[in-house]
Amino acid sequence: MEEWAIRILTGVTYGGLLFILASGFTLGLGIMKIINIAHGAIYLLTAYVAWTVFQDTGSFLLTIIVCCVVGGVLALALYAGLLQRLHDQPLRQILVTMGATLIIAEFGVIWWGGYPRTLPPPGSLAGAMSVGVVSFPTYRLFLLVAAIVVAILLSLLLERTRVGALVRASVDDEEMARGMGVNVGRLYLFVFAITGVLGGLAGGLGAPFLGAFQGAQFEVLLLALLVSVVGGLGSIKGAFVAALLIGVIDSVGKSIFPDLAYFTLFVPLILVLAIRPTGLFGKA
Amino acid sequence: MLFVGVLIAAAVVPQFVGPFMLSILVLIVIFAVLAMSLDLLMGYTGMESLGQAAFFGIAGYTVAILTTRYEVGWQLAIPIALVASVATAAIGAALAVRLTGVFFLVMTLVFAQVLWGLAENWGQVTGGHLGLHGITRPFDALDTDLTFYYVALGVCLVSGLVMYRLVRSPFGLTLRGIKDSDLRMRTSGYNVWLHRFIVFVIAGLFAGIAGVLYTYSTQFISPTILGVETSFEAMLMVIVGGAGTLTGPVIGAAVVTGLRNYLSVYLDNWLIVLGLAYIVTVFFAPRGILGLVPRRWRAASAVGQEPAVADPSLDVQPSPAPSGSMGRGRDRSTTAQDGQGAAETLRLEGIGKTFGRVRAVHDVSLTAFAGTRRAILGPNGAGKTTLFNLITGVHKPSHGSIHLFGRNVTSVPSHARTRMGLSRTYQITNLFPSLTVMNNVRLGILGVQRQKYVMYLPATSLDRVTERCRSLLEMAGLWDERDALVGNLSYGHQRQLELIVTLASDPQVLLLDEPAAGLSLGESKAMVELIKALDPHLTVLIIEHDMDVAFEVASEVTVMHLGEILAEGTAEEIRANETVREVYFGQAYA
Repeated sequence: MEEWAIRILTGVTYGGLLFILASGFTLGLGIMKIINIAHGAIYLLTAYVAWTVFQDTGSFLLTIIVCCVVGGVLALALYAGLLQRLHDQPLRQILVTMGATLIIAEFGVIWWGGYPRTLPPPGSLAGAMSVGVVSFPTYRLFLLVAAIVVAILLSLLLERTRVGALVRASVDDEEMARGMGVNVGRLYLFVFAITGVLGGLAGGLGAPFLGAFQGAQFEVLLLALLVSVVGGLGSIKGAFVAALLIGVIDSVGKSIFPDLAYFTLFVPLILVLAIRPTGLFGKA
Repeated sequence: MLFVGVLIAAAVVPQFVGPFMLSILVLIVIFAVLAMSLDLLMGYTGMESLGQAAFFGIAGYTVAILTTRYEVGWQLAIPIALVASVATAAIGAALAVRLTGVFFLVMTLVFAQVLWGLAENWGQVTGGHLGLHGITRPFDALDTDLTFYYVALGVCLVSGLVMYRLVRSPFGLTLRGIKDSDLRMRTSGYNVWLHRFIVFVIAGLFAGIAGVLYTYSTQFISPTILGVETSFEAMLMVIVGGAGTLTGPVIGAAVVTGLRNYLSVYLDNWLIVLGLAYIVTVFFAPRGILGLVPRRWRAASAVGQEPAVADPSLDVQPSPAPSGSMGRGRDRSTTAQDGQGAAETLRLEGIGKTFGRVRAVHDVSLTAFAGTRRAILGPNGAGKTTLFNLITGVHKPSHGSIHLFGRNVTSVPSHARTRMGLSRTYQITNLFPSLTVMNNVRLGILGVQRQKYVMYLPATSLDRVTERCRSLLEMAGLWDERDALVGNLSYGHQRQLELIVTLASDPQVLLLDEPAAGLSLGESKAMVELIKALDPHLTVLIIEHDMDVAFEVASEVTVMHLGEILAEGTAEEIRANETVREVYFGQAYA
């Protein structure tokens, strides 16, 4: 019984992390139809930044803020420099952001060397706390809570605010939105910056868990892709559900079939694609 | 000429270079095969795949594992490796081929990643992260790098030649058609899924061949080869060189491989240069290096050049009734007949289609017979085109059934309906813009022919098909334009060609969706003549807004409004019908 509680908790909290990792990517894809391959690279860079800032200041809050800013700035640079002219050209977006990934990751090597950096969970969030009958790492629970908060804020932003409505309208029919006086360019910049902020948040929050290492740019990307595809490309709600689903199936699968560890991650993908090719909440 | 020059250089230069340069040349040759395989998918069929590394790697790993762990000789190892890559490609195709665009891209990427994970984590078999070493080459003679180079070059040449023949074959033509207009292909009788599946597996096979060469070349393999970066680099090679040309990817392979291996020696942070290469290519050379070469220098594009017509005095009579001339068997069960004993061809029973909350078509029933000429009229939004989409199988009906020659085809896919004898034109011209007029008609003809799967002969060598193209084109006066790219044709000519391509599949039931749309008076008259010259046994349903055209061609009329049939009857009856006038013609039209 306790085993199962741990398995489920592990899965659900991992799912929380997955959602945070994927949220920026899904937002860019869902709202602006942009495939940002460099999303993983943003994680990499901001995770390294988190390590540096936390080492120097010891303040987790400050670390998170700096990471979010760095992520946002990086995303802005990507958009303004590269992606702005490539709307509705998925292949080119992919190639260009792949190039950016290589460059960003290489700067990671230049500034931090090729070695992985790990971060211990900050003081107050370290250790474990009791959840019902079991004792469970606090930081993981914190990740789950953070994921829920991000999910709620994101859906509110998109569904309930004026900005959200303007963005959705602009993506649907840009000419019309411009004709109505919407500053579409600035709007897109804003949204894409948010995807970067989310990427930075992932780096800051994920660093104590996954660490910063060369290779993260592709591993995190793969996780983000996985979550997005299973959830339905472009659906935030789908991404949240998918993240939890993947987390749980992965955790339960790993503990029952340890030999197939890597594949348990892909089981939901194969199941979903076999039954519903557009993902759980995807539009055709 | 250029090709011969490069060939000579490729054969001679390696004699004079040092071992490092030689190893780069070998890699270039190997990656050329991989890049060409991707070009088959991307450049010719329009399938942008980030998964070729999967088949490259699987073959490589199979050879490595069999050779080092099980001491299997190369005679078995190589065939097994190729079978492995084909099998893997078949699985990948089954998962990915029905997806398109971004979904397809992501699926292929994830597929390759799963295999990467397998290689990385299944240490016992694959050696895990560190990979496998000491893979011995098949013959001692091959231990000399120079000899190995020539073998690799030979394999590359043969692969290239096979792929070259493939893209010029009828099957190759169908791939290019799919790239231009998937929908048009489906309604022309092609099982598009199957074609995509086949080319995906073929591309997987060639990627596997490259993988085998790679393993023997480096005598080492590790999971990186299955990684994201390899798939991306293959794509970069295709794009840098120029997609859709087969020679482009070879150039791209040379550039990217050379860059990577040469630079990495001199620059620590050469990945930045590679990253910039991606960016620069996208913005400054989207068509690749070959795209920067002036057209006249490039070899004749795929199936572009037509053989000269043997006897110019041969006057092929334009056949006004292209029916049954290709001797294709057709399933025709006993059906109902109309008053004059003509067989029933098309029957709709209570057909309806709802999109979300919009009731596009509701409870439409209609029967047509051989020789029926019926116009479908109605204001915009009446559901006319949706009706055609339902009949051709582009949409699945929400309720009701469709019967073709007495057979219930409601769940039969579009291409099968076309092969039964149904064909349509599109309201917005739906042709293959990057192909010549001749090839457009060829595709129309091949859609209902077995020969569309032929892969070893040039498409231009099918004489009967060529003859039929000629008679069809002459019927519309387009024979002189046969080598023009459809994208360059005038709108009026495109509309005519639209009809010709549809007729090419030898239909018995013809759906014309606003054939005169956007045509001038003269052009409309020509279109009407074309339609009137059709075989009187054909069933023709025509949607038109141009009343003159509609009433010239049709003897019966169905008027639709808000998805339902408003009125039916002869032209005179409809003209006189008050309700129809109100809804459609307005008070001004008498």
